[in-house]
Amino acid sequence: MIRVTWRQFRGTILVGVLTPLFLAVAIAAVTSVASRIGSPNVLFDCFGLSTTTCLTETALTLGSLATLALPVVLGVFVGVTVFSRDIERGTHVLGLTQAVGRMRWYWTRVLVVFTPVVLAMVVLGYVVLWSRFGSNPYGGSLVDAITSRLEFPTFGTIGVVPAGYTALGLVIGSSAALLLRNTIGAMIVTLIATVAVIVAFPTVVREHYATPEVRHLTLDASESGRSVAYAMDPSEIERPSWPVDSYYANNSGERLDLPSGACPFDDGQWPEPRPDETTADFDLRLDAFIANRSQVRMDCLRSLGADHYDNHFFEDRMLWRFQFTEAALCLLLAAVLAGVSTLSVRRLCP
Amino acid sequence: MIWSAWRLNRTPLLVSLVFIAILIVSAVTAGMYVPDYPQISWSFSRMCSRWNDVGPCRPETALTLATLFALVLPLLLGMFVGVPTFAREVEPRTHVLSLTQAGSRIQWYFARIVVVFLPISVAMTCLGLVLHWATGLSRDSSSAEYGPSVSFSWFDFPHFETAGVVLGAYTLLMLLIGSTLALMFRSGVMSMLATLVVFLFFVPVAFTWIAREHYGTPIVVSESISGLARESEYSPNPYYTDDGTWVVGAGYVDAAGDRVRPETEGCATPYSDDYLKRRDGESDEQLRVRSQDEYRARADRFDECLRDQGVDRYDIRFFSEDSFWRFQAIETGLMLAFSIAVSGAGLYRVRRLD
Repeated sequence: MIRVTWRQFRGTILVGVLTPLFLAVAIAAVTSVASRIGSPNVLFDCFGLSTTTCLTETALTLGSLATLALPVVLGVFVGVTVFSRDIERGTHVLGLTQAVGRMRWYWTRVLVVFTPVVLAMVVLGYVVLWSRFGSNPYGGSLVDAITSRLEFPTFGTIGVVPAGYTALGLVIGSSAALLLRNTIGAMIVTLIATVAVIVAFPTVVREHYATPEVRHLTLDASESGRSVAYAMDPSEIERPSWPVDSYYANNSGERLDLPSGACPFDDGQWPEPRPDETTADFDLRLDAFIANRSQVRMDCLRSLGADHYDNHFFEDRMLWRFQFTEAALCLLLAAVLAGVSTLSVRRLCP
Repeated sequence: MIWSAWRLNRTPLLVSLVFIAILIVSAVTAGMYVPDYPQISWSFSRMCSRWNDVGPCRPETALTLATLFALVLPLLLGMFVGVPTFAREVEPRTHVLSLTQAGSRIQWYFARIVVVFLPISVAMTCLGLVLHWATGLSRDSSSAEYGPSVSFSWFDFPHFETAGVVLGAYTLLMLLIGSTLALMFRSGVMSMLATLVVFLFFVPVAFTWIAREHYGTPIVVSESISGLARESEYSPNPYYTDDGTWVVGAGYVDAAGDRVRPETEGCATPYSDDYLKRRDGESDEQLRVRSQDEYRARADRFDECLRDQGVDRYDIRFFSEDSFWRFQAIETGLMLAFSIAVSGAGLYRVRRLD
């Protein structure tokens, strides 16, 4: 059975495995050629600038985008065609009327065709992770240097998550093909559903994998207008965190929904240096102005019930926990979906 | 013949037209709300999020999504409408039934193009014009400090592709490419995959990256060499503009106007030890003058070093937005010419179908 499946799908399997591997080799080659990687250039920001940095960065960005799109493409062209090709021609009858049971026919196809593709995507995910974050202490998030690795779209292109998305996309494709028995319709459904999965995980699901850490800012600190001093030693700079929420809270820590525009800063009479004033005098006057302006705002916020300001965020050290949670969720969903679609295998005539 | 083409393809045709109509309506609605928010300065990818959930984010979201869909719709339509229109009949070989009727093969081919492809392309042209109107309203911003500016140029990716008449021609070309590939491969899945590859080559690479800047002669503005300022760490990026011009080339040139790539590493001379440091008994004014003189001398030496390598001046080559519609017309014409060629290839395949 395994041999029959391999014979029938060797072209599909080879294309499905070689595409991620080829992309991985290309990304690895560009990364090692690059004189400097991880500059915070966004896609198309660099078009026309023919410096090496720009060309390599644009190539790497396109590579990351391709990694993000591959689960959809593989789901549409590999997942769907594994069953639709036979069903549309009616040749599945040949397979189903042999000595082999339907369940074995189904699961052999799913495992023999999908497993190598998913494994190739694991390789690609680790190559992208190495390319973006391996040698560079600052890291090169796809978007910019201050966006966390836990966020869309970087998270979906590194580590094991691309493989998880691919497993889910492939099973969505095969289930749609078995359910609709129409190639075009199944492809459209797979396209929409897989894109929805890739968008829904970062926007809706991911922040619930763990309880975010809370940074508690007193109103003194949050309204002072003082900027926070940052460490400048590269070895001490941490990778950016992923902020998920921030709000003013009352004494008991409950969220306050302040109307927008409540307690505006009064910047009307921002002090200007006078001609007869020394710099030291002006600095004193400016400090007094800023302190007073913050005090007015703090009093106003307190009168509305605010006690402190809460930031909720996930630190970068959660990366692997989130990676494996999301990949496991994808695999679980894929397994459930594959199990459910055995019902449509039973329905297949004859 | 027209009737049978309509009966066979009405579902994909109507679904596509309804989807395009939804995009048109949302872009028009967004455009009507834009004047309510004079501070709006939309650029592609701005949308509502956890950190941006005030009033103007809704028209911004509508415009971003409409532009995004307009960008990928030619591909999706080519894959899921262009390919199946012919693959549906050629793959199960039911075209034999149609081709053995009274109508000619050419009629059979063009009936599908007229009934399915043309209405979709016309609808996409409307979407492009609506996006041009709506995104044009939302890109102007103006501040007392810097004067009027625009948040993106009409030449920027993906605005050139989506905001104008070229969108309809793109769609027609992708539909025809999909249909011709379906006639050539006689396999729906293979033709879809090939359509995907062709689209990825055509839109971002062939036209946006390579061909477009050759539609006209760019305006050239020459600037002094000013090498020291240009090679400094935070030098201004000549490719970044806020008046909508599209800079296609900027760099050092020789007297004949040819691009020169000088070695700039060795041109900077080190600062003197007391640069910006007060000497004994020096007043503020004297320090300032001395520092300025030293900077000017360093800049002169830097330029001299570049001149020794053949540099004459710094040229910026750009297109202004006045040529936007000319570029749109040229690209649309190119697309239509490609379309005719592709449909010729398709017709050739139709005549050879058995």
